[in-house]
Amino acid sequence: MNVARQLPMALVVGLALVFTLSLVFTLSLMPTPVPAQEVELPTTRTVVPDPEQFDAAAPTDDAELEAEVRKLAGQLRCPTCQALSIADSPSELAREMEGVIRLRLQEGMTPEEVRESFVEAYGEWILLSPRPSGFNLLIYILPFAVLLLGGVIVVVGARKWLRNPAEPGEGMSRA
Amino acid sequence: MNPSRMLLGFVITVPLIALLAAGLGRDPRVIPSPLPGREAPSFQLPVMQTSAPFSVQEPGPGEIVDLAELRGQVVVVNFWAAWCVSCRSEHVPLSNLASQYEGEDVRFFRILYNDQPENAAALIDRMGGQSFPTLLDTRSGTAIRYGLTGVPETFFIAKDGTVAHKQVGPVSHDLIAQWVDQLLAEEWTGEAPSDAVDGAVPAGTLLPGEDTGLEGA
Repeated sequence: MNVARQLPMALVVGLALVFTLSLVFTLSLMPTPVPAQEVELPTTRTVVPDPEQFDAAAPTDDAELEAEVRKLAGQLRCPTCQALSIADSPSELAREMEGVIRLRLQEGMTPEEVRESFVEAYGEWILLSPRPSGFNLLIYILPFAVLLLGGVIVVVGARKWLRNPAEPGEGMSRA
Repeated sequence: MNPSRMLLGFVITVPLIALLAAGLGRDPRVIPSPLPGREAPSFQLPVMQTSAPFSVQEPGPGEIVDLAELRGQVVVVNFWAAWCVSCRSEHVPLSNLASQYEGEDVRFFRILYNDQPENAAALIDRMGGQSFPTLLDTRSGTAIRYGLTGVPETFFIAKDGTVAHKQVGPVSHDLIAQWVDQLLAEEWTGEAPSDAVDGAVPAGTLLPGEDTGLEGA
């Protein structure tokens, strides 16, 4: 048996394993929100709150403000949905949260302050992209680190293999 | 096998497996709340109109309840909705305990979340009334400041105004009584709450043997 001939296959399998593991790991760091208690199910809700009650935070004609609202709403996680932003969620709570974003911006809060105000109530969980600091850095760095590591393994393995090619007529050679 | 290659394998796989085990071992439904240990978000909400009067001495319908005025008292805040089936199981224990603790330094409030007051009032009627008020949070502003992820959720607020515990899901008679008793027993020196604790439950506020997994602790 020629060990050198089996090396490429071993490399491919090893790399695939490392990539799969890192992918699963990255995904596992992202919590999927399934609250233990009842959540609103927009499709099955029968109660429709009075629209007049929500006018104060209704969209305005201010395009700049609305763009900022949409941007912030796209960065915050809808608490009653599965992996949806407030901007993408059809739920009532998400609309309310969008209204709160609008009101807070109108009150003069900066987008960063608005984001922080939601983090204060919900924790960092509310941010769809975790802040790149502390332990969170891992999910930003790890994929690239694994890619680099994989590249190094391929280069080192390939060099070794080229330097020490299989002897003709040995092992699984078809020649 | 080459020992150095084996070592490399271990160096890569062992931390990965450990991290996977830690990541996959946690309950994805638990969303850790940063509120316990912090000052409870303020609210000024009107009392909902119900057909039966409250048995507990409380502000009447239309009057405003201001959390800031309740310093020095334990406050139990329960978010609910008439469309929420599991909120119904809380109705009797909350109502009974509010009557039972009347005259002590504890106040009970329910806050209606994303529902029409008429639906809530009708349900309260069907369940034989409620001994304490439900407050109206028509635009969910208070719910959002309390980091609500659904209903029911219950907040136990200590005399100094800090959130002592957040319960996700229905509360039982025993759980409410345990928290209220413990918080009533705490001395209040009149000092403002320290906001220094970051997302952690302060030592001594957890009940012995209580499942505190919901705090993500």
